[in-house]
Amino acid sequence: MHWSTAFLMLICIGSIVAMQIPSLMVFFGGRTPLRIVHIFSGLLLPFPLIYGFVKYKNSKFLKSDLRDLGHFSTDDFKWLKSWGKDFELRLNKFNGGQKANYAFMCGSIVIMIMTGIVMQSYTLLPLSFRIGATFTHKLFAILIVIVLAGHIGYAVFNYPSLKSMVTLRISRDWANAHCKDWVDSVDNENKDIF
Amino acid sequence: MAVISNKSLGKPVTRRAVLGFGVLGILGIAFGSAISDKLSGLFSKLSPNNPLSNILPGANGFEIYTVSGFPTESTSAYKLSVGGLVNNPVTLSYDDLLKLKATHMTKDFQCVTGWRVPNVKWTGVRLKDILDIAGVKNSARAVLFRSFDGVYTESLTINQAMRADVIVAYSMLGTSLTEEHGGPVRLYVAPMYGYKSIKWLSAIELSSTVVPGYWENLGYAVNAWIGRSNGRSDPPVD
Repeated sequence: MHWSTAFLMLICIGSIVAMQIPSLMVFFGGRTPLRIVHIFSGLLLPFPLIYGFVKYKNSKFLKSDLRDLGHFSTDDFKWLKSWGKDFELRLNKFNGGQKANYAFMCGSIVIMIMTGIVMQSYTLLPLSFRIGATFTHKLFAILIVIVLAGHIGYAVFNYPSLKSMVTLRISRDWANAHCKDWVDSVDNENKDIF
Repeated sequence: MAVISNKSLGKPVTRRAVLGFGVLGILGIAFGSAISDKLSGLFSKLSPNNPLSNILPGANGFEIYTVSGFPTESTSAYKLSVGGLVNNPVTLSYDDLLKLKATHMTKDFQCVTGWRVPNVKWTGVRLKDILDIAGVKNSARAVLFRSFDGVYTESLTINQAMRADVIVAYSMLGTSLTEEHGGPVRLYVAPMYGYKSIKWLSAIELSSTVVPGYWENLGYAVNAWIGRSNGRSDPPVD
């Protein structure tokens, strides 16, 4: 779910950036193909998540992960207030920053698709709606790029957690230091994750 | 695998974010145009040449469109031919154009897809002056324009072409025309949507009937008056 969403998001950003740079636009065969790629990758963005929700609605593992990711405990707020420095807090698998990123991205995908659809309604809706949608689309595009840069930055600077996103393994020390509650909750039969 | 502890889940922040952003989106669509207007006042000091004006919301930058690519031609090699139903077909060089009487205009550029760049400075030669040099025959009723990209074409009726606010432009935004804006020479038809203002202008041909241009063959209005065509209601340029 994470990587397919990430892939679509990068296609979305890449195609719109290419449209702003004349030489890149020509390289990709002009505006029309880039526009189609942008629109389709954008519309597809929520589907990896939706697929995950539907396919694994009976999976204890994914269900609990998604519920955890979607909810902020009081400790998560405290952790955010300490700018991620307070590891004495007993955090679950996801920290407040990751949860904030998830919440922001889910909300942003909704807003981008809504405004994107309005932007395409050339004759159906009044012009002021399209200008408003364009404005909102652009504003959130900038916010998404900023938040995404932060997300990638934190991932790179917390390399073990980035690595775990690929290898699906994490060192026990790292996990103990960053998300003790989760370590305690891992079942005996799943100890090979460490 | 990981089952979260019995500790209470806490606040459903993502659900709230999704719903909240949804409401924000509706508000943005409804009122974003007014906010955008306020901001464009703020950003009006930003030159449309500044790359930031393409990025910041409400900054009224140009979107760069082309149907072919970006053909390059130096000012020294540039030639504008005027032919068809004229008494003396001529070919003008870039320097010839500079020697003709210059017309300055500061007017908006309105695209049919909705964006508008306010107060663009244009300099060029009135199309009428160029047509007068070639001497339009009485049988001529329309003008066809060709781009040296070899693909794009445009059209005007004689009456439209003779208007004072239709110029063959060699300067825009205070500098000589850049390649991406259609340099070295393009047309600027102030009262019509941007697709009439053909980039990389290379030939003007007088004919007896209007020959629809590139986008007009694909459904755009041939008489592209701003606010009175293409199903749009934009205010006219000032």
